Amino acid sequence: MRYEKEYIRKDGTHVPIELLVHVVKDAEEKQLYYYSFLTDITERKRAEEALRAQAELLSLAHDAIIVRGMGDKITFWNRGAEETYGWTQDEARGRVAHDLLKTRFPKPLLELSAEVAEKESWEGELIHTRKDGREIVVDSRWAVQRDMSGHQVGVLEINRDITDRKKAEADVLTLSEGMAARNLELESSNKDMESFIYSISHDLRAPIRTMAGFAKIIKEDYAGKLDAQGQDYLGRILKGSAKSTRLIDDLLRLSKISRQEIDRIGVNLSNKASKIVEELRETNHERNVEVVVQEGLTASADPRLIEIALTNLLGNAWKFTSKTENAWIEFASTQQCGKTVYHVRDNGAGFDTTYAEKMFLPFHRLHSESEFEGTGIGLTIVERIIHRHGGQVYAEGEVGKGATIYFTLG
Amino acid sequence: MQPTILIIDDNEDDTLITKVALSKTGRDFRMEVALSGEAGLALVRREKTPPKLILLDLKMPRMDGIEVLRKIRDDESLSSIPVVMVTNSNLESDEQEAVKAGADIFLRKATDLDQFKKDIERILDCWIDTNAPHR
Repeated sequence: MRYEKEYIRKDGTHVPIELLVHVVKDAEEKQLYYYSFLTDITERKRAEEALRAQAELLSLAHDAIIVRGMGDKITFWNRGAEETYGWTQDEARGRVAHDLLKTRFPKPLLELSAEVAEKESWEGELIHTRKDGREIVVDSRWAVQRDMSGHQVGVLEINRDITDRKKAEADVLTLSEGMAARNLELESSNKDMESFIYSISHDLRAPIRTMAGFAKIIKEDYAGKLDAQGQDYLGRILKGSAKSTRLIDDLLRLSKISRQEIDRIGVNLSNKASKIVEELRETNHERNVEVVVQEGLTASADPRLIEIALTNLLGNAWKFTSKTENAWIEFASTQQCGKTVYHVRDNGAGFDTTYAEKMFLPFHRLHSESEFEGTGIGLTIVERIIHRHGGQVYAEGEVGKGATIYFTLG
Repeated sequence: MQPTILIIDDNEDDTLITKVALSKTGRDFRMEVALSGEAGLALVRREKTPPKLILLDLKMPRMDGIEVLRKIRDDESLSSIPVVMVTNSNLESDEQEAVKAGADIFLRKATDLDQFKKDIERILDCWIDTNAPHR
């Protein structure tokens, strides 16, 4: 039998003792005598009190604070523990902690205990069962408490219910996995779309060529046999088929850009631009356009794709300044927020900024065919190329004053 | 003796356009049309004098241009005829395949008739009028 008592010393001081009593009986169960062992447990009591005092302070906390003494029996159970587990202080005290809470450990208890003994502490996630049967996940921190002589007096355990957090984390994971799957789907669907557009455009070429070809032959060889009205109709057929041809060719160009492998190396943009301008001058002798290309513009880009982009941008500037006196085009760069922003600027027809974004949509034009020819695919191609480089492109303009297309290369 | 130009193409409209483009060059030659690879080969073998030039379409059902070309190159009596592989496609891989199979030139069927006429003229300059050695 074991008792905890308080004895009084000769000098009057009180001392907490542990009294261990063994009864010795004879063969007939008659009590012969007692063995008594007395242990001064002052230090042990002090350590226990200190622990409890600490824990009492922490009874204000929402976290469950539990002290486990000998045999893992609960000696302290704060308000937070009552809230977290549903068991009251009275119900919990004296119970073996992992029995009461039906603790599920991440490792076998023996292993865990060894770890605790070695490190004097432990931290990890446990699964506990509340009084009402509901399982919760807790983030648990243990600290071993020892008395002055080094004996383990108890374990201070602080638990926080993280069931909601764990669920939220699981939800986020499911969500991001779902998104990754959706992304793959979209990519595959995009690829399908591209193949589709490509094969349709390709298949349309033959019949469009037939229409355009024979309309032209009729015009060349039989126009004389047609009256004015007939010739007008024929002219419209010709224009329509020529337009279809350009549209198909543009669609094929656009889809080629999207499928092409991108290969980035150091490219001298100034050189490329100057060459493009020279070609423009050569095919349009009659035009007198002042072109300023900033020297030394270089970037990491796919040389073929960037040439296509610059051809489109400079070609546009050239086209839209065709009705401007003292036409002027500039290709330069500025630094904005540590990034290099390139631009192609002209003083030509310009455009209404209200529609700035529409300009980049495929086959969208802000001018009619009679004002300036074109199918409206040029800027779409530019945008796609810039985006494939991880950059951005946007436009500014004013009707009658000119336009500027800005772009970055990611 | 008028030189013969043989057009092998399964698309009848295209053969017509090609014939018109050829006639408009104003040069002196005969034109023959075969609407399939098999018919084209049969025609070539039947003639006493082989054609001076073959305009061969790449994509045809059953026997395609590549197969016809190989059969022509394998036949000693025909292997020296210049062959222009003509196509609607704009894939580089097609061009490479045609050249590998032995095409002398690869021509894309331009949708614009004027451009096509120019292309045909250039080909005739190479293979018909100048009698330049081609093999």
